[in-house]
Amino acid sequence: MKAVFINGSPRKGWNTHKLMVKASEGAKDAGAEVQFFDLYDLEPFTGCRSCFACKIKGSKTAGACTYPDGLKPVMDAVRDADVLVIGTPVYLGKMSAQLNLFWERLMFTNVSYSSFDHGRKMEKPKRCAMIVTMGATDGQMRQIGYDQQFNYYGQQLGYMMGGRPAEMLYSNDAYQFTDYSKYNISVDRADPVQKKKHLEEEYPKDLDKAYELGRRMCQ
Amino acid sequence: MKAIFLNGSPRKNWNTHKMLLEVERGAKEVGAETELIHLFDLSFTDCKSCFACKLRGNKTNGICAIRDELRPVLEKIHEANAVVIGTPIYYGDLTGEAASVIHRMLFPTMHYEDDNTHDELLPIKKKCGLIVTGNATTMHIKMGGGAAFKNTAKMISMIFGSCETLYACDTYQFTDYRRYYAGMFNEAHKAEVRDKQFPFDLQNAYELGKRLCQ
Repeated sequence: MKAVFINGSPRKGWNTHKLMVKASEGAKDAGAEVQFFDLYDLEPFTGCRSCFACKIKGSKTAGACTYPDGLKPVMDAVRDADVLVIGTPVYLGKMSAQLNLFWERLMFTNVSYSSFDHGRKMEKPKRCAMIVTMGATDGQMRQIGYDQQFNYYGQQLGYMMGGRPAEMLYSNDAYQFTDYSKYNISVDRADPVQKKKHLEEEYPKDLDKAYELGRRMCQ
Repeated sequence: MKAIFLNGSPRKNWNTHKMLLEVERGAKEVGAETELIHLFDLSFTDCKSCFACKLRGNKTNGICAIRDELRPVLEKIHEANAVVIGTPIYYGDLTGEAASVIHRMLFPTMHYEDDNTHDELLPIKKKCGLIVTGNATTMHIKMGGGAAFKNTAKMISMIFGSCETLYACDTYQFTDYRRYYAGMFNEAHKAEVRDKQFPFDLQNAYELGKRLCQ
């Protein structure tokens, strides 16, 4: 069992990264061989370059983009993976664009232009999950519709990688700054006391959920 | 009048770039000082959540603090009166390169203080444009395929005051369709759209460039 973890957040030791690490620990404890990639640490890479090497007749890309840049080792690992877990903070209602670059390269290679019923080309179907963190509370997330956007991402991902929608783990009300008093952020917007309380009482539950998710995915 | 055009497509001399060249021609026509930048020629990342732009007493002045190859572009955007971003449709959305620029251009101007103080950091309002090209037909866009671009344009106009969106639909994608697994596309139809509709799209792009820079 091979599990690949893709961290689309820039910050180490913060909310998304910690959840991803926890999930990878769960995967390891379930006996999986784990590879963990931080997209912000790779050698430079771009999104899909529309080279269409994956669409040309006789293509041997086998469902993983082969463009030789910083993303190559990631794509190689993904090709062989049984489990794919992707983590991202919410940036203006979407995944981080750093993750988006990877996303394009992952998904488009599997899209068939031969028919609308996409012929998936990835040789190994994958179980997928997404871990999504945000400052928005659960209620705000549902009101604004972030969950719809990300559920849609999860559906696309699952479909392209093997058929079932990705399992989604949302971690809300994220503790964003080491010291809230140093930043231009009003108490109305984020009450540091309340934030701290959430960090201490609720966030550990998300970490547990992430661990369980990692384990479950790899069983 | 300064105008800056950003190509968020990886391909040069294809649909998105061609549209932007027409926007640029229109802008020049009305006397704007222009520059067209290919995002794929630069090395940069998305926002790194460093929050330098949210720090009390910070002097970022609405410009992202990350020092990479996008920084000079963001400085130029800050100075510009008109900004047009071009992108092909990737999964119903912007390319990651275009999305990175939009995040790094908008987020540093957004306060976490109060929802109504966005424009404090922006002495200059800008005329903005979003050029979108892709296989999607006009019908696809109208039936909801344009949602991501509508949202993006809304966000840009929330910050900079305005953003017009212009589509070039059903574009011609390959030099030789026969070489690709592309059975869902009818090459003859694509060629017809390229020959009959795309020139109008280019004309619209030219008019947009003129309009934004007047």
